[in-house]
Amino acid sequence: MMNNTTPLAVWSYLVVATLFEWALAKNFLSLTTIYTNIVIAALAASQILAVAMVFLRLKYEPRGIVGLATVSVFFAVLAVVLALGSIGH
Amino acid sequence: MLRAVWGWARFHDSKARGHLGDYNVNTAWLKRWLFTTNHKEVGILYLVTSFYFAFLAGILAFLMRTQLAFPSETFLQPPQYNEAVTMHGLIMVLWFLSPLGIAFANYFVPLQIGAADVAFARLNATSYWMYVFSGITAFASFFVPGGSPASGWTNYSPLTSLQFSPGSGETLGAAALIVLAASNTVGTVNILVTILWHRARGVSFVKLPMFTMFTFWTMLQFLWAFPSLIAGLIMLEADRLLGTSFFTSTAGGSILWDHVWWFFGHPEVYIVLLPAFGIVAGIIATFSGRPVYARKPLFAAVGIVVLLSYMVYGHHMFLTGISLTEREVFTINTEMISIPFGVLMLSFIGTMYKGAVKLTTPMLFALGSVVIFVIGGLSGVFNSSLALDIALRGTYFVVAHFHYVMVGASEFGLFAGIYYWLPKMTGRMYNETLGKTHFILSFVGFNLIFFPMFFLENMPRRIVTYAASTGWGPANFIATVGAFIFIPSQLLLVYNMGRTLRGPPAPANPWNSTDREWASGTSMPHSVGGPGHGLGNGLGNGVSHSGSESAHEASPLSTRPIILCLGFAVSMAGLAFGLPVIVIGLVILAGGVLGWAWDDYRGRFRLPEEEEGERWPFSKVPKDKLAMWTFLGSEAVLFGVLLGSYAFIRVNFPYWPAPGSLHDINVGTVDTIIVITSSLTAYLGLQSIKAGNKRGLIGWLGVTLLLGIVSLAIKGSEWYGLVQGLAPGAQIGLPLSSYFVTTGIHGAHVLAGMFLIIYLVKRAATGGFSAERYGTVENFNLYWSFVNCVWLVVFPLFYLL
Amino acid sequence: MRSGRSVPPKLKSRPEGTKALLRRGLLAISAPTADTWQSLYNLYWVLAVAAGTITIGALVFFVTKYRARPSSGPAQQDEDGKVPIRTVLVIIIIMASVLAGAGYASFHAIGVYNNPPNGWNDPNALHVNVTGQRFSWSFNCTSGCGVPAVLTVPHNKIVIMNITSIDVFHSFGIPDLRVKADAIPGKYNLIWFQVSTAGTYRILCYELCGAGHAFMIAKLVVT
Repeated sequence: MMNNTTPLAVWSYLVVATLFEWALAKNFLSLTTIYTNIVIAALAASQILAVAMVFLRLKYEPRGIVGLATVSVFFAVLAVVLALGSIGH
Repeated sequence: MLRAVWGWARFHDSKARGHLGDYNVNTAWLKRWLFTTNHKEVGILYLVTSFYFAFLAGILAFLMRTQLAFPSETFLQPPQYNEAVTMHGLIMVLWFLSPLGIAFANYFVPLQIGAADVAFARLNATSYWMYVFSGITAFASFFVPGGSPASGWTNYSPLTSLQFSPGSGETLGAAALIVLAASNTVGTVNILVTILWHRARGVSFVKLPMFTMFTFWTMLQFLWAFPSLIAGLIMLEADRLLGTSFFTSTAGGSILWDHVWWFFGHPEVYIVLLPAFGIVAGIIATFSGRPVYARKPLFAAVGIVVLLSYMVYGHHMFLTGISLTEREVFTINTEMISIPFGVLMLSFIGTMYKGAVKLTTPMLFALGSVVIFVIGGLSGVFNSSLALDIALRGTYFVVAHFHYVMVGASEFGLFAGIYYWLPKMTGRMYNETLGKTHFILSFVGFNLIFFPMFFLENMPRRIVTYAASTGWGPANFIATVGAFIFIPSQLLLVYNMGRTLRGPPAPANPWNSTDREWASGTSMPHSVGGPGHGLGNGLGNGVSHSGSESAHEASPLSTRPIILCLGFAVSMAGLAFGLPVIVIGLVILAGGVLGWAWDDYRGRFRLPEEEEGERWPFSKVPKDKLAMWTFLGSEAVLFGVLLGSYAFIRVNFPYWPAPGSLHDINVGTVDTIIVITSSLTAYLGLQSIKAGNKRGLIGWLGVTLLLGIVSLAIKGSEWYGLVQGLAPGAQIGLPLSSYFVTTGIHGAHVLAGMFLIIYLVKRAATGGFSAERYGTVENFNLYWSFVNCVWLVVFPLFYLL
Repeated sequence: MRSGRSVPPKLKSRPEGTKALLRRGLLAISAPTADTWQSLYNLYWVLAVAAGTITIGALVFFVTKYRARPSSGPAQQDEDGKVPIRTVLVIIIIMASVLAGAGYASFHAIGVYNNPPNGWNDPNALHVNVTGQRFSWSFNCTSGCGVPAVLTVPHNKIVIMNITSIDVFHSFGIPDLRVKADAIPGKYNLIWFQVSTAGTYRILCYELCGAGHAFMIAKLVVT
């Protein structure tokens, strides 16, 4: 039924991405800070997506579950956005 | 009142003997009520208990109004007054109004959708006992040195910090709130899954009866609002007990608390309102003899209210100095939320068009609720204006507004429900004259209390007294007169409820409603006089039931919920009373959890399978998985708020340590790889059992457990190093505060997961899982990988960025 | 509307009584913030009373007109019927328009609050640092503006206040002038006002701050 390569492939990607993040943070690639941070954030987001799709099996779940998960994440992000948005005049 | 209520509960049971089917026919009354998992009985427990709390909070209100009747009164001292105003608010909102709605949800949602019981019967009892014990804990705070919380129900920082609220009262109060939040989270998952998964054939979403429909939306609000409260309380308790500085610093402080509290607080007030409106909608339809007007727009409108309710909370923060753009956004959003409520009013009032309106007591309360809501809602529009709020903020205008919507609209709606459903719950009819008298006195009394307050827009809230020269005396006096009418008149309700137990038998469907909860009873053959089956066993009217309702009586008893909840509440109370109490609580908690697991392991506590009805959009999803996903939805918001708080603090704090200086990046990376691998191994375990490979499952689970231990050990060593560097007794700075709390909560989740693994291994070893039966393993996987996802956010935020 | 009216000398120094409160709308405490606020408030009252009358009126009308007669009507039918989309849309549009108007008026009003006549750095204004603490207000300005708990300012002078707290969350409000801002530790919130009428005005705390919350009273004396 289930193919072993997909989880292993995902795992490999996750590890590589983590090492890449590590390298960026250690400044081995000598990017300016803002770019470093953006790339790290993007990598982390991709990792979460990968875990959600495969290990949480969202790829195979019906729309109801995907909807529930998406809306929950929406509210989590909303809380952060509204809090950060209040800073400043 | 005590006796009447006690008597009611007893009366239920005395009729119950001989009616519990296969189970112990002579179950003693106490055992029955302590260990029940039946949704109707849990509903009754919630109802009766909520009245106790209303009584408590009502007395506090009585004291406050007495104090404020005249200028410069000294009936209450300032600290006492502050305790009263705080606990009145907390108890009324969280331990009375909301639970009363939940009581009805428990009793009637399954009946309305044609389900045998709620989705998870023991979880239902669990949510109830957590509620009770949390309430007792909150009440106990009156008696600890320093007294109860006294910073307002909103618990603003830094007044709630240890420095300004010394003593254990606030700690205990916050602990009680955490237990209550847990109760609500558990209850939410339960009722949501019930509505999503247990609808009978033909009960599509659009055809949901009003009360269930409104409850459905309310549960969604519960789901994403309470985690914010939990996060805030965790940070508050960490500040008070561990010396962190979330709310005592200026980078976090008052504004951070405002965000976290009100992201919960605003949805909370709609949580209090919507179930009552569900009742009102159903009642207006029933007593007009007409279907609900504009049902589909109504459904959509409530959904929009839920969505918007998370985006309006900044109107509580208009004067804090947040950015102008956000203030404008919050003004617009808050005004916008009036529009769906307008659709609600259209529906409620439109339902009566060309109807045959009968002004029974439930209908009076329902209509009263609508009238009062209109006034209350309109006054809310005043407060939505970022300009008007400048003068209205913190004044009695606001007090008037929210009492109009919470007492008037919500409480009256819930009272309508009590009268409406009393015949169903007891099989007997209440006294109509008493009911109408109760309504008139309540309506008049209520308006006398709160309408004058709209004209006290200069008077600050929560002041213990005021000078005569302010001119606030007359309005306050009128308000107190109103209180002296309103509060005692509630005794009429309680008396009526008690009296109903010996009242005339009621027909099975006294109101000629077409809602499903009435359809399942038959007439009352044995209830005339004598010990018949007038009350059944609290499980509805009459003896013979249609198939679905008779199944209600079959829920077995379980001792695990009450023990588990006792342990949890005691361990939380131990935050205020010391480590020994925490330990005792944890031991009891462990006992409850182990007992529960044991019951599952042995396959005890099986409820009959139900036939599949309407399950869209979750038709192919097993019930347990749906529950796990729902739970994870709330967890997402919990971590979102924790991490959002971190982000907020970090942006505001100019001296954040550069990456690598506080936390070792290499160590973090290694830890992350271990975490990632544990997700893989858990998944491979799931794959094994899906292929029927029991030993593969155990093996992979074992590896996962090992990886979990290593990961926690690494975390532990990092913690150890950081704690060593702390000066004893000093406050913990912001970077470490957020690190400890975030990784601590994450680590607690990992630990819980590890206990789950042990249970899974044991169960797998004895053949508990197979290629066809692996649901629990799948759910564990969901939980475990979710927790690992959280780490994938924590790692970059704390170590790399 | 109100700004040009003169005040009988008696009223100026009399502390506010109920009568004065009821006559609030006519009382000539002239301050741009108060005037702006009062107009906005009156507008909202008119809209609210209209909306409330219509809605509650409809409810009462329906209850009376469709009251059950002894020959009572049929039991509740469960027909879903057509969705009354037109009616719903009409309600939505009416509400949205009214709210948009109210919102616009609010944004206009906040413009007054956010923009002192000569800006926040006005050299001719009286700049006052206000500090809230448990349980008093203290005022600090370069030109010396009074003793603790009493702030004295000349009439017609633009006063700009920088408000903070040194302990807990307070809220600084001068109700008669319709100005208020939260006093939060670590935050500095600015407000401005300008009063053309001499008199004494109350300053109160509007956020629960402890046992002395009700007694955190100060005086604004406008000379």
